[in-house]
Amino acid sequence: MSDSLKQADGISRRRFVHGMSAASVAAAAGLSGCVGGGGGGGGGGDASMSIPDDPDAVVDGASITLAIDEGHNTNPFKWFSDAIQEDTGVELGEINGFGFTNLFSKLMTEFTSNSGAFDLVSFYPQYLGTFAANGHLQPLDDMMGIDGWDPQFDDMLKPFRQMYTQWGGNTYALPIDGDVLMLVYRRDLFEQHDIEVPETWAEFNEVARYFTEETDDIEHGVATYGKRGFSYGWFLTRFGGLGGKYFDEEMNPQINTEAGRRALESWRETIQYAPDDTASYGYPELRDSFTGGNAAMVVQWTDVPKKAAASEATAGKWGGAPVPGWEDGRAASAMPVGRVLGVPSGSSDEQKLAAYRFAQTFTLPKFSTHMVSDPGCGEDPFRTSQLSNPEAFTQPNPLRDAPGESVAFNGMESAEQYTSAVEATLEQGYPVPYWPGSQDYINALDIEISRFVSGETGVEETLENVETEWESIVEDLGREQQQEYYSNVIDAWKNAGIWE
Amino acid sequence: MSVVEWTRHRLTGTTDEPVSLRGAFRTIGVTSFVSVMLVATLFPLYWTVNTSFKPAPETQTFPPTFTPETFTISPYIDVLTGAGSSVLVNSVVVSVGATVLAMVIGVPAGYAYARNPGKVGGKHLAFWILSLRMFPPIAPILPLFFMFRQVGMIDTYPTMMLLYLTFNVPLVVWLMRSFFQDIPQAVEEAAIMDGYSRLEAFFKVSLPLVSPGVVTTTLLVWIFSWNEFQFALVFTRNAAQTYPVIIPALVGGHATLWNQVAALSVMAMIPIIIISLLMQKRLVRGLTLGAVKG
Amino acid sequence: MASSTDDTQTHRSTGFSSYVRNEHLEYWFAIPALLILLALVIFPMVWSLWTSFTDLNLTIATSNGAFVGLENYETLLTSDRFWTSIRNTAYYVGLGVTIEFTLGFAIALFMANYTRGRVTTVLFTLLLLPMMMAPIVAGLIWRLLFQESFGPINYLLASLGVGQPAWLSSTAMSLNSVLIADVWQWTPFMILILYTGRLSISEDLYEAARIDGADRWFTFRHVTLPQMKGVVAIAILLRAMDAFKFFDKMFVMTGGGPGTSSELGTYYNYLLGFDSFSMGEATAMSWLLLLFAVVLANVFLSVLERGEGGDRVV
Repeated sequence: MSDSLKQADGISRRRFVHGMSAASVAAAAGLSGCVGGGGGGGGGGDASMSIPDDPDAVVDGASITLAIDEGHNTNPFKWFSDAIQEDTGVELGEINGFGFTNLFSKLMTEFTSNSGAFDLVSFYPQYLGTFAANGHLQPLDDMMGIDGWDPQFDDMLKPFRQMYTQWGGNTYALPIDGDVLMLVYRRDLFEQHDIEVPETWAEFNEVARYFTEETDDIEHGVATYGKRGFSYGWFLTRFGGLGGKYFDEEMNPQINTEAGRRALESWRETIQYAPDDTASYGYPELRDSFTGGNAAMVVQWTDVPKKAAASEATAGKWGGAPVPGWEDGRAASAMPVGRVLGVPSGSSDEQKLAAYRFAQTFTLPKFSTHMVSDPGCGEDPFRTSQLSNPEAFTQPNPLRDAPGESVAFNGMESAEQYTSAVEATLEQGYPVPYWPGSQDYINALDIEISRFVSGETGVEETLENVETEWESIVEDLGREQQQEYYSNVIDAWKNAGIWE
Repeated sequence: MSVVEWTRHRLTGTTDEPVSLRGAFRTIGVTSFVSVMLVATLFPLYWTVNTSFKPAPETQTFPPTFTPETFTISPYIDVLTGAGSSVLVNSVVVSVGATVLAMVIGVPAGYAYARNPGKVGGKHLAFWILSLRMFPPIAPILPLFFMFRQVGMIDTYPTMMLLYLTFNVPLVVWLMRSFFQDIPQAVEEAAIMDGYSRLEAFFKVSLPLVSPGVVTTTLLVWIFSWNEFQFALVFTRNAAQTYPVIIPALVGGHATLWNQVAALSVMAMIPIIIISLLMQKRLVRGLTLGAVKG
Repeated sequence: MASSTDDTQTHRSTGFSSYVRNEHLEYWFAIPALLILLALVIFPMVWSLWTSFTDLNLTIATSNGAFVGLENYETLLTSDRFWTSIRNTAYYVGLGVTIEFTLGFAIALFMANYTRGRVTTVLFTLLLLPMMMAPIVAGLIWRLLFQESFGPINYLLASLGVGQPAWLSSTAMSLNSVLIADVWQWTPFMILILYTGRLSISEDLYEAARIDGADRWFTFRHVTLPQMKGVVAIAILLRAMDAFKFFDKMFVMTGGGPGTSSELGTYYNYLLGFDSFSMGEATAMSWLLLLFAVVLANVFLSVLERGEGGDRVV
């Protein structure tokens, strides 16, 4: 039936298909032509913006959208937005939350498609280089110079000021969360069993073994992070103390070294004494293993003490200390995550001003001190004024209507112990790469570390895999360019006193 | 009828089998089978509903509670006053729009391939169109992302409706082809004899005759659009974000609000449940791409 | 059966509208769909093929996508992680479809033989629910169930005195747990197809077998199976093709972890494209995945076509 018409009709099947294929190839070739130059076509707006005469009037009544990782870190924005609106006239219209480990993917997808969805973005400083160098973020220096719009950088703790905010001579972000890993332990159990706070990793493992195997008071002596996303931080904490570095001057990876080996071997012993499912522990699981009374020690972010103080099982029983080190090295606290606020460069000038104004106000001690001292969120101290003011940690958060829940520590003693522990920890901070492309190194390291913790691979294999992958990443990204970035970053770190 | 006989009748449809050991085993067997099926299928759903009515701390207690100790609808309220209502609204708009668009484009094409495939590429093209459904979504997503960002069409309703055509149109074409093939051409020819043009015959005769098929296809297309995740993950931000995207965002991270996520899931499942209850027999044909007549 | 001729037209005269309505109706009916698919699928796939031969990377502002030939393919085919993801995918598709088929067949036959009327209807309705819900929701539900510290499954196992596996946090179990969720969601699909197929086998055949004194096993092998060959093939192929696209449940249940134990091809591909933004590699991988899918699809289509050449399959 149809066959007889096939040829009689003007369109035969073969010609039809041919026509379609030809059309598509032609179009695709044309498309690739215009797309070929569009590697950065989606992102990047106008970096130079004009500052109006009366910025306060311009932003009055503006409404901005925030992108941030979902969860308790959105809370301070909800607490303070009304007060900030009163002060500045800027309204926080919408908060978009994304998964903790998906933030880079989400933001980068947005930046490369530039749909203008977000006016203010919160991200982890490791992405700063990639975002800034690709023109996705608005330099803030001009806006910082506006009268009354100063974010008080002098008050920021030096490591964070250096690492979290600057790139290529411009300021791109304001810190709101200073992350560093510290040791949190059960002071009551330590006293009970006459144990001293471990100062080396060997001692650390010994204490872990003791609690796991020789006592019944607590299930495990230690728990550790293992989940994909940030497990690398726990490697760096051990690695850095042995003088481990990321690359040498020729950009050769320095992970597959004695330092890396010792770090992994020590960690493997720790894992032995940790709960069986420790390989899947992310932030909440690791924190809960301590605050739920299942582990006597954890190396974790500095917001755990305030969570521990709020938990029934550990209230009044926790202690904080710098992470252990090495006898023939030092202690090094890795600084993964952390949060900063940046302004996408693709927004309109008015939105950029409004977003910056909001961020700048948010980061002032007036608000941020209440934030870091409130266990209802995970933001950690990042200003000198916060750490030199332990009293704030014992007081309720006036900008929140659950004052009972917002007190971090019940006594000055705990508060002082906390702030001094954080201070000590910061002095031995070990920075995380943040130049353009470093996301690739971190991803590669993280996957291998996560596999190591889960027992998929051994020490040698892990180190070799990382080395091979980093080598190929350096090649892919351009060795010379990477060398340049790396040496600039090292200078900044030396300046901040966290790199030898 | 005794209780035993009644039960056996209900379960096995027989009344005249004498009460015997074999009959009893049969009844027990069927009863247990049905019960196991019921439990296996429904327990996960029941647990979700259970979780959705608990206050947050109770979702993490051990031992877990099988009915909420403190029954509360606050998870639903929290979700709806938070991101929940906007994503559900977006889902409705996108899924309905995508369905309408897919049907308008696909039904006529299905007719064309049913009646006269030779004119439009032949049967092979029809099969080839179907094969598009087999692509892993990531394959077209990568280049489509590139294309759409060039024209600035990210995170809008029309974007999503257009994108969903990629897997909906093949489905519609294929299913409607199968349904149209069921109608003998004689019916249309009769109409043409009566003076109708072919276009008129299509609208006035063929279409009404396949309306059950149209309904089935519409529902299936809607369900797939409602449930779609990968495209939405990449192409939406906040303006057009559909509910599947925020579900993984709420899980993991700092503290999972299991009760809220469960509440959102329950709300998203309600239309599905309604459709399933109404349409079961119809759906088989659609699900098997017309291979099984159902 | 020719299409319209002019002779019988009484209402319409010649002209463009007649042209549309009559001669080339199919053409106009099909063109929109074909154009859409051309624009949304063909163009993009051709572009994607081209990109797979470049080193385009969106995290580098100056990247223009220089031509690098087969380098991306080479990198992938020699990458451990790529093969792990393929292995995981093969394991998951193979084992998943097998379990779903076996379980589905058994249940379908049981239902065909032992349940009637209202019970069947109720069961059918029930069975549709898992299939119809969004895979991401199903994944979420099972993540809730598999929760090790406070989930119901481990609790029930504990009260039975049985060991409680680390469903989502052990490298050995993670893929299996995702598999279980998939079996729950898609076995009903198998049941429905196979049940319908079984029901369409004429009772006469079974009558004849019974008269001949055949036992159950014999009947199964020589009546049921041969008659259902087509349906079985369709069921398995349909399911395999869909399984291959698997993404949602794994995304929300394990994120590929712990380590890479549950990382499937589609997820690694997604990460390449939208976490590393290494478009060259990502498009190359998607073409490799497509190869697998095309092979599967061709088998499916030839089975279908064989069915359509004569009667329909069922």
